[in-house]
Amino acid sequence: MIYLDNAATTPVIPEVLELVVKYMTVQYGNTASLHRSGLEAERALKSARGLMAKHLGCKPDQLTFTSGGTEGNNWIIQRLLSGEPGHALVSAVEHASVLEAAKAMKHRGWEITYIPVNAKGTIDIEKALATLRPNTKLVSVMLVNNELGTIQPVSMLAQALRQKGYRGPIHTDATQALGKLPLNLQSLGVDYLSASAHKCHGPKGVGFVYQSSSKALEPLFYGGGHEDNRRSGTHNLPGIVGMAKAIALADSQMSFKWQHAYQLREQLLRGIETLDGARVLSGGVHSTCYDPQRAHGGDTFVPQIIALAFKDLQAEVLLHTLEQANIMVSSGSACSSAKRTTHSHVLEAIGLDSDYIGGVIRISTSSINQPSEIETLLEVLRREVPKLQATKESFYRRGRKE
Amino acid sequence: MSATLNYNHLIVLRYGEIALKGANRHFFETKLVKNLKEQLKVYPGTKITKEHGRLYVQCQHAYFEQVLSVLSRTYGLVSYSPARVVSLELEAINQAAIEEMQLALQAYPGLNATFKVEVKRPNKGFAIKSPELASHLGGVLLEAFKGLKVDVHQPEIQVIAEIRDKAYLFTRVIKGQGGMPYKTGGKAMLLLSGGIDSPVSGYLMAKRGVEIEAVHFHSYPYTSERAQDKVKQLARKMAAYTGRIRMHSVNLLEIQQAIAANCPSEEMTILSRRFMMAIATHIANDRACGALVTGESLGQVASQTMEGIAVTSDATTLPVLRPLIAMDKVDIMAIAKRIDTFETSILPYEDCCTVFLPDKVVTRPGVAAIRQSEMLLDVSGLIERAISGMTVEILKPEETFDL
Repeated sequence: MIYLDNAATTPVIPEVLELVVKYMTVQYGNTASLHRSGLEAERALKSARGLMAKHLGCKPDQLTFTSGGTEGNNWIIQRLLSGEPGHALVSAVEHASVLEAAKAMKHRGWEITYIPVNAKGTIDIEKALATLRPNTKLVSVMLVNNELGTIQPVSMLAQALRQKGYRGPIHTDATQALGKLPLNLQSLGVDYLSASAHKCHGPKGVGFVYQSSSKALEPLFYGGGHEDNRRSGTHNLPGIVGMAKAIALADSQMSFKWQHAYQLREQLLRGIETLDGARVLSGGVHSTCYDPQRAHGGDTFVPQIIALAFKDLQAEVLLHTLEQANIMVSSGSACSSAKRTTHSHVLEAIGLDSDYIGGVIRISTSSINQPSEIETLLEVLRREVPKLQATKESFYRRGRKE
Repeated sequence: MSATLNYNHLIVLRYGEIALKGANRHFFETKLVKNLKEQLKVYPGTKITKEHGRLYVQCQHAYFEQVLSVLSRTYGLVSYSPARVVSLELEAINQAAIEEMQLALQAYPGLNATFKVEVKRPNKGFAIKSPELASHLGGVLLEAFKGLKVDVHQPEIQVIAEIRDKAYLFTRVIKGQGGMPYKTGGKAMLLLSGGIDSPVSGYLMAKRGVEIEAVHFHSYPYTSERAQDKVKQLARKMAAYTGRIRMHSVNLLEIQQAIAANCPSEEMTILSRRFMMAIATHIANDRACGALVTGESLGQVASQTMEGIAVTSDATTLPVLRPLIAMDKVDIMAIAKRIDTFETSILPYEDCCTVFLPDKVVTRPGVAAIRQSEMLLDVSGLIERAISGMTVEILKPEETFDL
C-alpha cells in the first residue's frame, strides 16, 4: 500500500510502539495509586510531560493531557464561551471540532464571526481586527490548515490583536502543525493550544492542551481530580508516553523531515505541472513552501500537505481509482468525506472555481514515504485523470443534448 | 518565523562585584568563565570571549533563548545585554538602531519615550567620530519614531553603539543574579527538607559562591517515595543555578522510634534535629564541607527559637550558616516563587518532621536538659547505622525524562 493520507492519521513508529506496549503490559500502574507501581506510573507521566515541555518550548505544568484534538477544542471553546453570551471570532477554515463547538455555542446565544481567507487559505488579519467587539471573548485560528496545508500567521494575528487592545483569550488548533513546524509555545503569543498525537506517528486517542496562564479553566470532565483538577479520568499512560516520544522524535528530526517532505513535494509538483486541467492549491514549485531558513509572512504552506484540484472530475471517483492502484489519498477533509453531496467548507472559503471544486484531492506525506511512491502516484494520475475527465465531459455533453 | 533567523547573536556580560576583588580578580573571572562554559557547552557554536574587562557570549540563533536563560541563572553576573551585530556600514548601523529601538519601545505604551544614543569607538579606523555618529543615529531614530524625544540626562531608553571589528548595538540591560561566581566561596552541606525555606537558603548561599551539597532525612515507610521524589525535584530546581547537586538521603526512622520510646514526647522535634545536625556534620566532614546550611528563620516554629537554635548548634562542631535567620516568611516565599521551588515545596506529601509531631513541643529547651535526654539513647550507634544506610544521588537540572 502507498499511504499518502498522513494528514488523516499516521502509522505508529516502532520506537513509539515499543513504549506503548511496555506501558500496557509491564509498567501498567495507575498514576493515582499510592504504591510503588503507581509511583512509577506517576514518574513516567512526569517524564512524558517534561519531555514534551522541553520540545514544545513551554513549562510542564502548562500542559494538560486529553484524548485528542477534538476534546481539547471542545474543552476550550465550550468553557471560554460560558456565562453571559458574547461574541467570538473563528476562522472560516477551522476543523469541524472547532466549527461545530462554536455552532453549539451559537445556539446558546453567542454570536460567531467567521474570519475570511484568501485564495491561498490565509486568514485576513485586517478583517479579523475590524470585526473585534468590546464583548469578544475568544479568537480561535488554527496553525496549519488540514485540507490545504496553509500556515496561518497566528503570531502576527496575536500581536495585531493585542496592539488593537484585545485582552481576551487567543486559541489555536495545532493538530496539523505538530511535528511539521518547530513549535515554541511560549513565544507563539496564544493563550491556549490544542493538538493530538496521531498526526505525527503517535497513538490515537491522546492529545494535549497548552495553557499559557495558570488561570483555571473549568473542566469538561469531573471526577478524580487528575491533571490538577483540570481533566479527570485515569491517565492513558501508554498513549501519553507514546505521544511524548513521538513529539520528541519529530522535533529532533525536524530539519531532516522537512528536507524529506520538501523533496517529495517538489517531485510531485513538477509532475503535476505536466498534467492538463490540474491545479495545485498548496502553493507552487519553489515558492510559498515553508522553509525553516527563511522568514515568512503568510500564504505559506507546510511541505507535507498538498491539495490538488482537477478540472471536470469527481474527487471521490479519483480517490477510489487511486485506491484500486493501492494508493490512499483523501478528498478534502476525512471528517467530512462521508457527506458526499457537500463541498468542503475550506474549498468554499477559498472561493475555488466551480469547475474545480468537486475535484480536489489531498496528498499528505510523512517521512516514511519514498520518492518511488510519488512516482507511482504520478504515473497513475497521468494515466487515469484524462480518462476520468473525458468520461465526465462526454457525460455532460450527452446531458446537454437531451 | 521571525525576521532574525540565522542571526548571529552576541551578548555583552557585566560583572560588578568580582571586579572589585583586587589581586583575586583573576581567580573570580576564571571561575565565572569556567562556570559559563560548563553551562553553555550543550549549545553548539556558543563562544565566550574576554576583551577589555568584559565578557561576550556569541551563539547561534537556534539557542539564543536558552543561552539567555542560562545567563539569567548564572551567579556573579550583574547584568547583560543582547546586542545586534552588523558590519561597519552606516546603512546597516542605522537599520540595527531602528530595530533595537522598535524592540525597546514595546515596553512603552503609545510608543512615547525619551532616549539618548551613546557611541563608543575603540576602532579608530571607523571614519565617523563618536559624537557625530551619536547625533546622526539620534536623527535617524527621531525620523523613524514619532513618539521619541531626546533626553541626555535621564533617558528612558539608552541606545549604545560600540564600533569595534563590527558594530554592536543594544538597548536592553537585563539584570543578572549578582552575587559571586559559583564555587568561589568554599563548600557547605545544606539540610534540605521538602519545605519552602531550605531550597531558598541553599540558593542564597550558592549565590555567594558557596558550593552546595545536600542531605535529606526521611522516615520510609512512614513517609513515601513520592515525598523523596519531591525533595529530589527541589534539588533539581536548585541545580538549575548550580549545575548539579550531590544529594545524600538518610533514613531517620530508627532514631525517631528510639526517641519516641525513650525520651519525653515534647522533645521529639528538637532531639531529631540534633541528630540531623550530627549526621549532617559527619557527612560534611567526609565531603570536605566547611559549614552546614539550614533554612532556619528565627521564631518561625517552636524549634527555631533562639534557645532551640542554641540546642541544635550544640550538636555540631561546624559553623552553621542560616541566611534566612532574619527574614519574614512572605519574603522567603517570594524568593521561592522567583526561583521556581515554591510550587514543588507546597506539594502535599508528609516529610519526616510532620510524622512524629507531638501534641506539645518544648519552645525554650535548655542545652543541658536536652543533652540529658539524649544520654538515654545509643547516639553513636544510631548515627552510624543511619549513615551506613545512606543513599547518594547526583541531581542535574535537566531531567532525563526516562520513559
